[in-house]
Amino acid sequence: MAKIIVVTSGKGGVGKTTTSAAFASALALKGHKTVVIDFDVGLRNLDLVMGCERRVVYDFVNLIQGESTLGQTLIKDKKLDNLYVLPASQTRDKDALSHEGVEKVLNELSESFDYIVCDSPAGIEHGAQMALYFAEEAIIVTNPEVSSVRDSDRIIGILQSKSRLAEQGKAVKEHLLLTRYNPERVERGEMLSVQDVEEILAIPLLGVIPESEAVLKASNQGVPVVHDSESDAGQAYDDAVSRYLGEDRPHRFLEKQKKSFLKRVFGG
Amino acid sequence: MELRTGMVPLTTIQLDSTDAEVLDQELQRRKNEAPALFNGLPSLLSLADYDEESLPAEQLTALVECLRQHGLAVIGVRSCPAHLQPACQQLALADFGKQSAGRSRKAAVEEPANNANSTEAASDSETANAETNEASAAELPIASTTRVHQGNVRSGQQLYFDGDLFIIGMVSAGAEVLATGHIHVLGALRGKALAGVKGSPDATISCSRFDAQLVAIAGQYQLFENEHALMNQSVLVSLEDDQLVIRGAEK
Ligand SMILES: Nc1ncnc2c1ncn2[C@@H]1O[C@H](COP(=O)(O)OP(=O)(O)O)[C@@H](O)[C@H]1O
Ligand SMILES: [Mg+2]
Repeated sequence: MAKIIVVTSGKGGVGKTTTSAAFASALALKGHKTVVIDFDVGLRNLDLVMGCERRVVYDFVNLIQGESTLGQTLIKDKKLDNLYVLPASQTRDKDALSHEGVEKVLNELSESFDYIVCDSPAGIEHGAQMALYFAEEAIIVTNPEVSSVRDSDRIIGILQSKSRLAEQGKAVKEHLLLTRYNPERVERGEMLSVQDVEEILAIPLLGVIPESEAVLKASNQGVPVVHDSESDAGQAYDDAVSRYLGEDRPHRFLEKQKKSFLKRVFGG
Repeated sequence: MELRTGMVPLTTIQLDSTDAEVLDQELQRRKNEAPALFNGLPSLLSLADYDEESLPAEQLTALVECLRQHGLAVIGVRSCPAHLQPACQQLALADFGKQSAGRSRKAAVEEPANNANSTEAASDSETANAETNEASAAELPIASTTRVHQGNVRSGQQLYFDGDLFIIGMVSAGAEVLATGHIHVLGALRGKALAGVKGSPDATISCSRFDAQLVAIAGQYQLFENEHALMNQSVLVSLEDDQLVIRGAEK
């Protein structure tokens, strides 16, 4: 039985797709058979970040509608052979996803995978609700700014009322992932601090991903940033996934570069 | 700490033993006698005669967890000694101040300090009448028109109750809580709180951290757009001569 994880945020452009790609790749790197599903129907994006857009033949909607099989639709990652991508359709609209259809596909994937990572579209409407409905765990991707935090709070409310687990009187396990964190701007008071966000959202902090040029470079190359193990963002994602898997790792990249220079030199 | 509880009856728990296992057994026994007795029962824990030796902080945590596991909504403490104050804060327990003297310490579950039979509550409104009837019929120390909501109220969510509303958790910015009676938030109030929504001027709003977007009692409202003196403090909001009055509850 696979564990179903949704990567969600409410707001767009905060780093859900970047996180889905990095998270799924790190899980696979650590030996877990993983599939990452793009729920952003109409705005295909995950396949670009995963670097497999040229290999998309069939998509999620084809699969739901019985026009293709799982074997024909899943795309094997170019670097890791225990990682697969289920791409979204570019041509259909979001209503093409139904509870029954999604459930059927998830059940089928569940038989052979350890983790199913669902990359949610932005918003709180149909598409986002479809992506989170079956989730057992949620990674709430939040940027350190008021509007993003507010939208995350909203999506947490939806997880707690409209997910399948909530309907059964149970709870989706929530993890806060603060991304695009810029300590200089926090210090100048232009952005919320980790503590501010933790206090407002009141869910456990899984990790902090710094604002990093490595992310842009990685998505342009179609290689998820965790493969760039020299980069700050790559290491931060690796930490977050290790923590997710139960390892105890201290939070890094919370302070300005100058302060953490020694730590970096000595591999802290 | 100044807290006007109005018609919110609370049960005070006085422990016979500080052993969590003994307590567990006692609660189980009482539950067997009256299965619904503890369901969400808002209660206070009396800490009157404990010192560091008779009740260390970790022990308090175990006791409160035990009470909560049995369904009691432990929301505060009375007569809290200094060494237990940090633990109370961690357990989200409000300090309800000193216990009135002369109370029988032996009764394990006391009658509520503010009985639903009191003339004040009974003459208050229709809601209060219903409360009195039901409370005496069931012989439960808690009025059935109090709702305890355990958990946070998130942005975009709305919680309405015909009666008093206890929220053990925070009310996020963008969330709204409404009650015909009082509203009490054991946590941060960052959204909107509207008490006495059917026109009851005696309704109050209290919370442990005040950063509301709006508060209203019986239709009188106030918006908070800027920083203010009582920011993030414990406050009590009431209506006096048709004016909203917000008081810090800190000593
Ligand atoms: N940690 C980061 N540092 C710098 N840029 C980032 C970071 N995370 C995401 N981005 C950039 O932000 C934009 C939006 O990211 P994306 O993952 O597509 O967000 P979403 O899926 O939430 O819409 C992309 O251009 C991406 O490269
Ligand atoms: Mg995206």
